Amino acid sequence: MRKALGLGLLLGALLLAGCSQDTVKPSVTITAPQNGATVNQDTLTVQGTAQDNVRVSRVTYQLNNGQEQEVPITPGTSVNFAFTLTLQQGQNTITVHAYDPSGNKGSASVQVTYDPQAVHTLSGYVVRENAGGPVASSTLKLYRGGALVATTTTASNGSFTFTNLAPGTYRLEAQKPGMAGSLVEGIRVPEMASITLIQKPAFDATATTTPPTLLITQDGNTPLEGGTFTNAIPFRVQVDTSKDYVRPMRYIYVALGRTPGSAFVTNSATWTRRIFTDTEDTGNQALSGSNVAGFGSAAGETVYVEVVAYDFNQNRSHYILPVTFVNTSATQANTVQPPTGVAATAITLTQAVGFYGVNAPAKIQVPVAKGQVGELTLDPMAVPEESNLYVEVRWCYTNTNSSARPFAFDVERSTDGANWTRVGTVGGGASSSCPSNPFNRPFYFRDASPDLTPGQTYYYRVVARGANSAESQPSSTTPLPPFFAPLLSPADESVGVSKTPDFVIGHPQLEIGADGAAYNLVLWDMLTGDSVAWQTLAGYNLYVEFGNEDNGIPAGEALVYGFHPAANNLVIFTDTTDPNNPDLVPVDVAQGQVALPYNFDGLAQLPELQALRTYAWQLYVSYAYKYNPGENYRISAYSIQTWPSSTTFIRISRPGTQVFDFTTGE
Amino acid sequence: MKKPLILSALALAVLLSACSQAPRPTNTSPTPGLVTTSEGVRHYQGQVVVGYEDEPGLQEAIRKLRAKEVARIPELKAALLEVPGDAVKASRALKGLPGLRYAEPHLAQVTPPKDDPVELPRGRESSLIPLGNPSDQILDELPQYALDPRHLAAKAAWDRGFEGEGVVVAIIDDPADVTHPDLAPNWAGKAYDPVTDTTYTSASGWLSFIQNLNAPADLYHGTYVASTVSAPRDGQGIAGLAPKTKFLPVAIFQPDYVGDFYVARGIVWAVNNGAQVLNNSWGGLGYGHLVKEAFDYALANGVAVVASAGNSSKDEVRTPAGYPGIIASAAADGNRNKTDFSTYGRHISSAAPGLDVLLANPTWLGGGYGLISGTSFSGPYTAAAAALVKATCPGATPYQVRRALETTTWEESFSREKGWGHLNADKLSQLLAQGCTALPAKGSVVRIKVEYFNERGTFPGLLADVILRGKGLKPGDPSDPTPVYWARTDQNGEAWFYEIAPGEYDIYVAGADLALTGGLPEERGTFVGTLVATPGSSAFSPDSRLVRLNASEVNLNPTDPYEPNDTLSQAKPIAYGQTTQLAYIYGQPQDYDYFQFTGSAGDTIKARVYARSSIGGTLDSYLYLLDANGQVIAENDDVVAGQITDSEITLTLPQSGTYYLVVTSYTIANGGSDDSPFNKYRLELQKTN
Repeated sequence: MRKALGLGLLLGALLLAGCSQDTVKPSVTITAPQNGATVNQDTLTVQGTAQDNVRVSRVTYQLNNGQEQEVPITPGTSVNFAFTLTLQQGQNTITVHAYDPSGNKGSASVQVTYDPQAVHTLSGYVVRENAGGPVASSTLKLYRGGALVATTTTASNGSFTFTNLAPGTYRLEAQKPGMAGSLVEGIRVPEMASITLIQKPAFDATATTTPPTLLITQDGNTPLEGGTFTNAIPFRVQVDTSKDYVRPMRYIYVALGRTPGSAFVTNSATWTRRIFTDTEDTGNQALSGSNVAGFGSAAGETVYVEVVAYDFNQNRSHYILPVTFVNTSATQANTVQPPTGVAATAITLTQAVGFYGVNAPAKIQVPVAKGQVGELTLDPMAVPEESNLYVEVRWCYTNTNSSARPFAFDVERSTDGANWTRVGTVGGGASSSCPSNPFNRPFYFRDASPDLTPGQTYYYRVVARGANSAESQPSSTTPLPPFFAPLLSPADESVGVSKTPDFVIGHPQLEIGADGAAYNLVLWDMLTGDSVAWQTLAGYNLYVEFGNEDNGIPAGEALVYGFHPAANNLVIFTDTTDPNNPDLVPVDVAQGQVALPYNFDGLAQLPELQALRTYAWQLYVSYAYKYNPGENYRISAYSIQTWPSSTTFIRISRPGTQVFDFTTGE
Repeated sequence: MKKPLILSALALAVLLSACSQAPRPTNTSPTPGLVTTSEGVRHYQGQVVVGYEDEPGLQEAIRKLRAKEVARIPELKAALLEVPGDAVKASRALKGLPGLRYAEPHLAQVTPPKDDPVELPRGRESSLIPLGNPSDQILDELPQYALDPRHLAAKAAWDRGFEGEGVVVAIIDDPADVTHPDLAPNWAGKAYDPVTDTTYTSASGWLSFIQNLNAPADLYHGTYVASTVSAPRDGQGIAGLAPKTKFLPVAIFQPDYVGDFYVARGIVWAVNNGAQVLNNSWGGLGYGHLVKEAFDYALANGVAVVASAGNSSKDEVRTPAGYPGIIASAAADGNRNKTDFSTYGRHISSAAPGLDVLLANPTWLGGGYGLISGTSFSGPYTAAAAALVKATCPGATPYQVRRALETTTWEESFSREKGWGHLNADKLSQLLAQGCTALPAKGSVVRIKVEYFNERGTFPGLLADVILRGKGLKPGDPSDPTPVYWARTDQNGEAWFYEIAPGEYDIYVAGADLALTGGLPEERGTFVGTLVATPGSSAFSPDSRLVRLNASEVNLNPTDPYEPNDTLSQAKPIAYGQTTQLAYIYGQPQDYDYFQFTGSAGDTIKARVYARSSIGGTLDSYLYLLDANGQVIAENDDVVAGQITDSEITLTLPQSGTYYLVVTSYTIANGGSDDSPFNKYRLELQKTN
């Protein structure tokens, strides 16, 4: 029966074909090359498929509207084809035709540019924010002269690569569901071999993801691009309000020589970018002074003006414009010395800040000039996703003689200490102060490159530039992965808890390759809230170090210590290397846990907690650190889970922490 | 120039007296109105709030503290007193005084909006033309994503006729701009300054009050908040979620927090002046009796109370959001997810837009509109939703209002991050369209009365903790909505829980807070039981429970075995290696207890007072060592400043002879009075060489 039915159907189809003329055209799909592709060899293989409701009987192709060439196929309703041809230099049009037995013809074309110079590569990363995590599976479209050249998607680490690019100026667009749109206009190939796109989560995923279109001029009329300027660059940025974007605009940043963004990440002691908030038109402005410090030359050289704009939906536009910049600063003639006190410190923030974007302006203390700390308005702290990683490079230049002052500092990075790549330039400067705390040294640069990887050692050096170049000694750092010390016991919302509980936390120091971690535990009465029942060491950090190669403690052993305000000295609370030593803060090295017995430091308000009361506890401070044995055991990497202050230490607060409440038993 | 002269003369006099005779140090006069922190408690310097039972009780407190009455809230039987000396210590000295229900420093633990980085306006937008934004975000003139059909879905509710008409919403905040063109039509016609107890009925009068605060740049928050609720639909600017409500400004930030007392007065004024919803876009850590009582007064009068959860990014309870019966609001972003900064937890009722919301900017800052973020703005959207309910069903209880909002969210499921979910006015209006009988069931009012009993009798259970923990609560479960409530008994021994979820609860009760009374743990008494909160119980017929704890009553009249020992000649002996029995700084406003010992030159002695930090109680001790002539040769306040407030002196004696140790309290040492039955201590003397 089944066979008979099959025959019947076939018969019906044949009858149908016989009784009415087949007018359906075959369809042709060219799978390679991609339309608009550029190749750097003249021999090209074209592949694709052709389909027809009856049968594809014949396939041909035409190159540049030349004669039709037969392509050998096996006729059928769906056929694959492949053929090789020789391209002419420049643009080529390849048309493939498919015919069916009734003479219907279907066609498809692609345009391919053969350019023997198309040997260049553009690679880069798409990240959520400066110093932020990757955006995977974002669709990237590369355009040149308005034509789509290539399409790709980002890998899981956010990376992408386009090959076979001809020299020229490109536009790159990124789109991903749930994320805002991002574009870079003015990518110069081959001068720019890599580019970083920032693609933030869309404020409202249902709103448009078209980035704003910017009009960048000197004054609203005269083009900026290609101009020659001395010491100051006039500019005006306007949003093309006839094009799609989401109002209101959030920020427009303008900078010379570096992609601008959040002040914390991109500003420096001797270099700043401009920012314009909530506007579609900056008006007539200029880059000068610290905006241009360290860039250009007396003879003039090509420097890029970079403009970044975010609209309300976080859609981002990044424009790069070359100008010729003449800098007449006399410091270019100075004989300079090597910078001193260079210290590179990697900072990992377990919970990302959301650079640029804090939701509202947060005030933050940052060094604004040599040796000075000032309050800057940091543009806001947004939805943090994943983590941040950046390296803060700080240094001194103590010769304040005006004839020794550098024109610029170039910051260079290396993974082997031998081959160096410049990661940034800031203006030169000199300050007689060179504090012992590296975080207080007067000059700095924060390297937020998206390829910074935990566990990899990076060397940094600073090159002072004047008439000569003088390289500093290198400083190295090995970034840590994100650190998170979970609260374990007493568990959240538990009841019947002891009146002298042990506060047990996970201590994943060894897992992340750190040499120790600092904690401060706060316990408060949840009802009255105001009375802190206990803060370990009255607010001083408790340091927990499990033994590894670098901290001088034998493997499997542990040291717990901190400054005790009553003793007015460092006190060792636990030292497992000798049973006669104290064990006030028991550790479990194998499990990676630390237990802080209630009132182990004698600084609690009451000798024991009260029965049937609810208390809440949290880690008010929690970060891991890594020593650098090669630099006199300076701490050269921090991984910050919780840090309460934006004015001290790393100068950025991370409030996120677990808070567990529990109720004591009777 | 006069003032410094007088001050230095005074200091000199003090020094002289300290050298010649027994210690009677300076009388440091506090500066009223200045916020200070003592023992970690932020409060107004020199100000104490007392809840009184009767007039004699209040007068006794005034006499005892040598205080001045500053203001009073008769509805709450509360008074604000100005005292010489430390208010934290002074309030403690009043504990247990008959005729008083509670005494606490005039708390100032609330962060004013100007100091909250999340809530600074993100610049002003004066020329927002709606282009590039979906047309459904234009409710009035400017784009408002918060109200669009994918967020609060306001228009659907308005189209059904639910716009909050007839409801007054109090904006308890910094003084809102009643002249902003997008607010003026919906001003309720009254505005209140609780500090001077002044009701303003003219816009110009209110504006000049604001001008006289001399801080225009720090006064914007209340205007943004008011426009969230009440901006009218008039074709200009923006619309509030309840565009026909009237708003009632109450200025509790001027621009600093005016303190709990005035906040309570403002709340009572708002209730007495017709508010059916109170919006509280503020909060902090800490439990303030007076403010809780004021909110209880509102709830008892059927007024719905909304509070912002806070911007701490943490899973924690802040107040007033955490008080029983209050609708706590978390802030959501443009994708209806919790914002990073929003405080969250089991107590959250719901979420509403609180990220980059476009709202009205005060005219004294240029007017127009600005973007702003914070739970301060999710809160008033929630208050506006509550107003939609109250406009339709004026008799809805605060708990019914809360549940009407919670049962009509986008999600209709509970999470600690967003409570029952993101508000949806469309769905809320569908519920309201069914009439008031369709509202969810009423909540409960629970009163737990605590008594202490022992062989000496039965006593009021003052200063006890009461926890109501819903049966079946799953600890740490992020989707478990079972509630927990906390409250402290007042001086009558009563803890009230207004407008809470009906159901079965475990009750945990424990006797007086040892951190205050300094009793022994075993004297405290505990109780664990269950209680059923029935729907529809009320302030007038609450679900009541009497809990008797077998506990020591709070001893208000202890005996000091060494008294009288108030002068050199009355000094009682103490020897090396000896620790005294329990003694008290009590019985007079400025009690100094003298002890005497004989030492030899070269003896290294250690004298240690064990007081509040080690044995509890209220005594923040102060210790002097005097030589045979009564001259001070050493003194100590805190073992560890601000942490261990007990005192200790270590010294090598310069010569052989008689020495005196004098114990008192820090407050007395600074010239104040401190007379509390909980001021207990022991003195230990050791020779350490």
